[in-house]
Amino acid sequence: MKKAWNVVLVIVFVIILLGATAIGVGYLTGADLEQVYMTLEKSPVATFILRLISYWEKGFAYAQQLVATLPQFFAGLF
Amino acid sequence: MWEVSTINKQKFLAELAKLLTFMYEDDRQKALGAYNEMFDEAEDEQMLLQALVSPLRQAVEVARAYNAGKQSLSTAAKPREDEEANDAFMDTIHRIRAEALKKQPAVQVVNENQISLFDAPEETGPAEAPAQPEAAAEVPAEEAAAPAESEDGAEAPAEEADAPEEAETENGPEAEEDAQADEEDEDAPLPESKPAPALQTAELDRSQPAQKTVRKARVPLLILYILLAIPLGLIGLAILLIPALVSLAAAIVCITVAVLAVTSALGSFPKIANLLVALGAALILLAVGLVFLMLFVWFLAGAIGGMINGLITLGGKWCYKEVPAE
Repeated sequence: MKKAWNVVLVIVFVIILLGATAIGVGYLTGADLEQVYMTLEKSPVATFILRLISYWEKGFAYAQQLVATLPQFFAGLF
Repeated sequence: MWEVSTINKQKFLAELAKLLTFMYEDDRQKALGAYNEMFDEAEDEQMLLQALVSPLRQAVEVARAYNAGKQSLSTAAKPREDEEANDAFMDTIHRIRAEALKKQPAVQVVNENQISLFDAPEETGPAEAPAQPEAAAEVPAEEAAAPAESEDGAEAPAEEADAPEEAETENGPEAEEDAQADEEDEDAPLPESKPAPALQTAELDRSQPAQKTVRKARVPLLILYILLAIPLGLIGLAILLIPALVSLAAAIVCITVAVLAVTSALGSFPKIANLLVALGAALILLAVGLVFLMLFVWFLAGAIGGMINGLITLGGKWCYKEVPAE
């Protein structure tokens, strides 16, 4: 398991290094961040993230309801 | 008193069998058989165990009587072929038996520190000293009875030579003087720096293949352990599954977003600089996703698997005992 962790961490480090290099080179060669955001908003990424956020909000609301009903549930037991 | 209750005939014989591996297999079986008979004859097993003090002490006594010069440690577990039989050690065992059986009624109260049959010698307390001078004083006489030993004493393995010395140093100044006199008579240079546990550990390692033991379940304890371990294991499993599933969800989200970002960026950015920034962000997200995935695997295989393995190992330790094979 320790060896597997080492291998994964090396891969992760290399990927992060590549990503940071790509972002750095993009900035240096005149990337327009607003254009990047606008393009990604129209892509399936944005809809996926928005869907996740809606799921999260729904799940959080259910959890809040559950926590609110727990005292009543225990009160009914005794 | 706790230590006394944990020791029994089988443990004593198993430990002694390990310590006597320097003998030929025939002789070893003969010696072990004699000790077995001794236990059968004893009215009170615990009293006999107290009289015998420890397997190490008995092994030392037998080793002194045994013709150590002819048999090297490599003879362990081999049948005798060309060597002549030497039953001097049997006389010693008979003498020990007679004395131990004679001593039994006299032993009434056992000090907590006196009996430490399976602990290392350094763990035995100072209260052991009063009981031992008798045994130590008998050793020179025994050696005088076996003159062949003095000739072969110089060739004896270091471990064998060290063990008696260690036993004697515990027995007070008189026993030490006797031991020194014996050493001078024998002209056997005994290195003083090596402690007796070397005999125990070295011979235990060497005797592993020769030792035949059988695992025997303590059924009531096993049932009790299973009844406790299953609910506790399920609770631990539930506790560990929550972070594992959260890690898996995070990994799926990160990797999906990264892949979607890469696929959408490749076709929709006319400018390479913008494409590079989007790809860089996607790669970093992918790396984070990999870390979460590895965390999930670790929780599943490392933590949960380790917990289950630990429970099984603990059950094996507590609920099973090793007894010498009949």
